[in-house]
Amino acid sequence: MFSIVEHETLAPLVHRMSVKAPLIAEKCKPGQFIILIVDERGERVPFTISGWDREAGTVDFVYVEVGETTRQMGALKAGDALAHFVGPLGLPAQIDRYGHVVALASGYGASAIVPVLRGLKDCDNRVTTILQAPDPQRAFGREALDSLSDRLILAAGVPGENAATSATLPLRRMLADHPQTPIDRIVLMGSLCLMRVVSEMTRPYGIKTMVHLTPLMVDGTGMCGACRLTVGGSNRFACVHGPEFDGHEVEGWDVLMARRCTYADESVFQQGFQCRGCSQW
Amino acid sequence: MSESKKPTGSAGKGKGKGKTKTKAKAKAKTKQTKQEGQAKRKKQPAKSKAKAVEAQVAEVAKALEENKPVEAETVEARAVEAPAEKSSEARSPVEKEEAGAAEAPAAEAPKDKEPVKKASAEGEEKIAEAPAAAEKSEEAEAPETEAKGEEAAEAPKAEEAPAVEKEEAASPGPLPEEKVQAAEAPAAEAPKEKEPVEEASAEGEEKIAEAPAAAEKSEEEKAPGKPAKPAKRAKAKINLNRLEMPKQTPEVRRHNFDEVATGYTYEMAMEEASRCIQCKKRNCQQGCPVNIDIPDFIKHLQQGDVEGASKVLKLKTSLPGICGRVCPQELQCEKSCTLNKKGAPIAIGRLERYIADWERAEGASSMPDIAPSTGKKVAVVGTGPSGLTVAADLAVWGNQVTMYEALHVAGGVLMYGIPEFRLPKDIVQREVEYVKSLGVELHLDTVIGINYSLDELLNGPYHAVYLATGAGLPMFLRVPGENLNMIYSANEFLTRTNLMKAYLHPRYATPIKMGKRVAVIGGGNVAMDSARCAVRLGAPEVNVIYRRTRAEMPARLEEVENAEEEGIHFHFLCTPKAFISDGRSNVAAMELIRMGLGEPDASGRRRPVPIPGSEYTMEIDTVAVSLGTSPNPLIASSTPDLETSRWGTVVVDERGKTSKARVWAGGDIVSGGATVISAMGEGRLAAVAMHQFLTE
Repeated sequence: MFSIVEHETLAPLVHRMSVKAPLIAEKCKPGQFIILIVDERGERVPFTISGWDREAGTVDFVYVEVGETTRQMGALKAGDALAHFVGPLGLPAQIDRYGHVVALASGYGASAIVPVLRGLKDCDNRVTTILQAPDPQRAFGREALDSLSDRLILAAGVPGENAATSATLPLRRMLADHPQTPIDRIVLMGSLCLMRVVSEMTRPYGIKTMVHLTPLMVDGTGMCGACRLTVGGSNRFACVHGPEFDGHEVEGWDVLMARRCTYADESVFQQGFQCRGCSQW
Repeated sequence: MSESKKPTGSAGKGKGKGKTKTKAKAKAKTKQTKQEGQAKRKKQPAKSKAKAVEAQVAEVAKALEENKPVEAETVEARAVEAPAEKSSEARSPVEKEEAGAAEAPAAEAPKDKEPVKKASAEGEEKIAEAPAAAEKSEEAEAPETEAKGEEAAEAPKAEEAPAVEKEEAASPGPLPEEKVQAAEAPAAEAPKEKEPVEEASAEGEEKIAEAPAAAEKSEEEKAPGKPAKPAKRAKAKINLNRLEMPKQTPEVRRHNFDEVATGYTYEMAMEEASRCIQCKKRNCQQGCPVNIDIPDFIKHLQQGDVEGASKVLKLKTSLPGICGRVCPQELQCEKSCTLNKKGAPIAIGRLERYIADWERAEGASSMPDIAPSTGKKVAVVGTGPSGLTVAADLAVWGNQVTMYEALHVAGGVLMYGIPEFRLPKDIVQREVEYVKSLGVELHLDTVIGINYSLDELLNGPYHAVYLATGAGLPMFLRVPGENLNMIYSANEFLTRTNLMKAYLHPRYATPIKMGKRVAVIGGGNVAMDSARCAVRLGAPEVNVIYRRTRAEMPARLEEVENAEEEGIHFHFLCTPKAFISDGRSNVAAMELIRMGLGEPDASGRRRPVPIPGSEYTMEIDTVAVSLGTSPNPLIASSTPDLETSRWGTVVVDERGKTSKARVWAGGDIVSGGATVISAMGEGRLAAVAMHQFLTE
């Protein structure tokens, strides 16, 4: 059993859980994820690691309540325990000195991208972060992002309006300025639609765009292929070859999105998700 | 993780190739040998007769083992030989006649202790005079039975004799001596028996005559009160009636995940065990990948000593309850069984399962004595059959063992791959608990290669490491559309269903989405498992798509038969060329291409070759790709000094030692997807090698 050390609500339906898991805390790196099972009849669900404390032996992740399991998790308190917690899974995010990196984050990504930014900052990159949120009240995690970015742009919609394209507006302005104000690399953590749209936007500019994919998973160690996708013509598993991939090499976004929503119902609709126009609905 | 190794020939029980003789020759021979045999026996007193019969049987058994034609002198030999060429299916007229000749005064074998008479009434002619079980009934009822049999045989014979030459049907007339005996014996209901006997012949059921011996007995025992002495003589008979495994009917079992095969009862086990003729040359044992002392455990069963049988099993196998269920016995022990030449091998697997289940039920799990501590620590990576076996062996020999498992439950493929209806999960967990009870530590949710590298283990507390991480990487077809929604790998399909118990959704949280028309691609055990899970999950139509023919399917034969019974449609000699979308990224159809069989490939099976222009479309909305698996590359990719083959398997010597110091490996990670028992066998070898290393 893995005890919950902290459980914080960041925004409506958005929580941060901190779990005691010394084995994972010891080795986890930016961009990696864990898989947890709430109780012995629960499903295996992956979550990107948003932080850790190696000395205290704790691992953090942020999640949004979108279905049965996440709702069940939402009701847990510090002191409760998870039945199973395994990680760190996946390959770490690529972190190096690139120059000017533009980071886009939405949803859970607002917190999960923090370790990546920290790593980029440690490598002397200039970081511009665009944070997308449905509205300013729900733009959680701003302080951490602010402290790790040379510039933080908040792309928040208006409640009730379609906010899916809001992060792309500041990006379009920046792209128009490129290469006078060059962008050397782009990293994204957010919804599939956002990653797809941004990848297409940056393709003509040839700017390397790294996307953090979050397909459905069952085992998470490479044995079931639930998370498979085609990257550069080859079959890849997000759990062992990713979850970070070059967005320009990802093929079949439609299929990826269809598979992502195999078990989804309308509860997965989030303000800001353009789900109604998607192939699955 | 298919359960069977790829066979070089067709999988399946041997069904007696059979040389057919001409009927004239047979007639002459049988008549002659009958007379000779009768003459011989008349001279001998009872006791030495029993010995003589024993000797005859030994001779027969020997001859069978050596696959030689049996000497015509011994009547039993003749009797055994005649049906040797037959299977229990339809026989040629020639064979029927031979059977008839053999059967002369045919006695009926009891199916179980009681209804000897019933058996004869039903016209089932079989001889089982094996020790233990049949003794009693034989003593009590043999004379009467024989009489009935004789009369029964006699009546139709008298009628049919003239027809024999013309129609080559049933049995020739009995010999004079036998006629006399028959007449003297208490009268049976000849008319009633008449039909069944005819039917029996007509249906071509196997029988072996104990005619003369039985007749002899009848002669002796006519004096009332004289006790029968069937014991020794009983051994002389060979029973070719292999007991069927009781199963849930297909109509019922396609709606539940309960175990399909419900197991022998005590009586059935005793009867099946009684068929074993305890050959001197232990072919069955040699056919077993872990060399189980099969004749010994069967002998214990014959004596009613199930506990003794269990002990014999446990000498060589640590997972009898599992192997008895999932071993492809038809390719191993049962294939080598002497009686397999007659198409009726001892059901060794079912007996093994019976013993293991008995032991589990009796709760008398015998704990081995743990040797004094060696002071050595071993890490076992992976808790499938190979890892569990090594952990148990090393622990019993006094080593401190820790098992690491990446998943949240131990058992490996036994848990995630093989379905509940073939291998109940509580049985697997009992095995895991047993291993833990030997003092073995178990760490779940721990991924070696991530949480610890091999070097960290070896430089840390462990003196040696055993790698048993299996072959969990799924293979795909690599055709267009293969990533469409609702196309699963069999691993995902089975893991959701079996490990995560999606069939109990929503009580268990993991769902599995399935359509109405399922296609399972492949022909191994995994394909059968996937298809049968799909049926139970409620799919109205389940198809298996296999690129070769039924004869080449590597799946365990019983599972193929079960699948057929459960209404799964088999499509042979075709393979998917592409999967077609419904316009919304879900699979809606697949394009198949027909195959022809060309030259044999490396596995010895004929290579399937696509037939150009033979494409056709099949509507399908769910797919499970069950082509096979290869080792998960995680550990190899993070351990440069661990030599692997180009297929990703770990390279080892004949005792499981890898290229990396103090590291051994076994199971699917070495062999690629194979069987539970081969994983266990490799584990036992490696455990011995490791223990030697640790204690020298």
